[in-house]
Amino acid sequence: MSNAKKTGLMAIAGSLALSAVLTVNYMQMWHDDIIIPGPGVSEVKWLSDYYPDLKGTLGDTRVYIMEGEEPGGTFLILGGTHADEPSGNMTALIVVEHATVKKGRVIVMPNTSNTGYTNNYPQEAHPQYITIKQENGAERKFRYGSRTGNSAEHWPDPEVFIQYPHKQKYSGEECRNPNRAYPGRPNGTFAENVAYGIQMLHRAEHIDLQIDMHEGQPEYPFVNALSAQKRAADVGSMAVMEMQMADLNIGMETSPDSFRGLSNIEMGDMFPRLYAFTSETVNPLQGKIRGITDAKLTIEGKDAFYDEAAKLGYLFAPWPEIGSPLKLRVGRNIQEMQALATAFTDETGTEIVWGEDLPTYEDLMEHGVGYYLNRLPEGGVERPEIRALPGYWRLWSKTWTS
Amino acid sequence: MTLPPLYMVVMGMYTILTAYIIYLVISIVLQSKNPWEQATSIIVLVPFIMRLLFIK
Repeated sequence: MSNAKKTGLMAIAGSLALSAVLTVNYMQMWHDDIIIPGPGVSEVKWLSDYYPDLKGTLGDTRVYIMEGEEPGGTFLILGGTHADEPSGNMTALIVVEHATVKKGRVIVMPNTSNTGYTNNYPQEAHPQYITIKQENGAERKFRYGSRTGNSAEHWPDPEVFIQYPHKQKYSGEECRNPNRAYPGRPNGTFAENVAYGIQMLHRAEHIDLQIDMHEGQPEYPFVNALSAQKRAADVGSMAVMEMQMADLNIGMETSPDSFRGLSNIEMGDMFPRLYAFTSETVNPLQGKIRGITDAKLTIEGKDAFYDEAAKLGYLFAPWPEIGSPLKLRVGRNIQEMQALATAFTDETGTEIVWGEDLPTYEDLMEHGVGYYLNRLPEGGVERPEIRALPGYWRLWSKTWTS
Repeated sequence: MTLPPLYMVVMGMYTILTAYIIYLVISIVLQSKNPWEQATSIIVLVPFIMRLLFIK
């Protein structure tokens, strides 16, 4: 065999080996994150229990039911709608793993867009995982996904995505954005199927109050803010005032009617009893002028470029000396959930009261996020098996096996 | 007989096209006498193999 042929075969073998390594690495994101429910969780369901068509897909996701000691209203907490905005996911996990409910019922979805957690943005240098440190060297690892769902569930993206049922036009990629897919429909895009599942959950559980937690870049005008469906504006304003009295700077606006497909607008319009909100904290990893991009940036929240931008007055949100660490963002979310439950109770007379285990903003700032997550047992826990393939593979395997 | 969803058809065609491009690149690599050209084929082959498997 000639030398040229040998080097050619080596190049091909190298390509195959590198592809295999990258494939295995990528497939690791198809495993669900480990979640260790705390004493407040009374039942673990799946979204497919409300909409069975999601069963056997990566759109199916865990739904944690936390029954209070006494009856009251029902509060739905959506974390991980955008899988690259970790503060909502972490807040939901702290609620599931640590908090209890005194009056009413809390329903938590930590990975609302589970398919978003099965892929990330490598070309943005986004990490695949973030690791949360705990005491005595323990740690927990979670996926860091993408804003939109896995393209293997719906491909190719159209040139223009026409939102259902209002026919608002968005760029094509938005067809995979879970927060443009509400109220959802069974025969629409995959994101619309998942949103339809959440609509079914609303119908079955009679949700009174809903928060969908998001994050935005520091140079984005709508950060450190709460957005309310117009009927919920009074409750939102009361919650915001309570937060401001606790020295937490937060803005409030009513979601415009012309911005369709959002969870708070569509669910709030659909269900007359519901008070629906979206919140935004500041995640420098999503920003466009960030420097070194890694998991540390979203956890510690410090970035020299943003320090400089803040000095020049280019940022919309205050940029304290500590930057925008995850513990600060989760602390804000938790304080906000507390304030919303209080405002809702005051407004409607239907009670939603948290137990004393729910930490405060100050607690988060003092102890950090890892302190409020359960420790993995000695010897660790086996990661959940891959329970479904992304759509393209799933449909092919169905075709072969049927 | 029911047709598969449109996106499966498009993906199938795309997969065939990807496989054909991989075949062309491999043929050229095996015919080439330039080791540098052969080595740099990795940066073409890896993304296309990933696409073939539909791994981003």
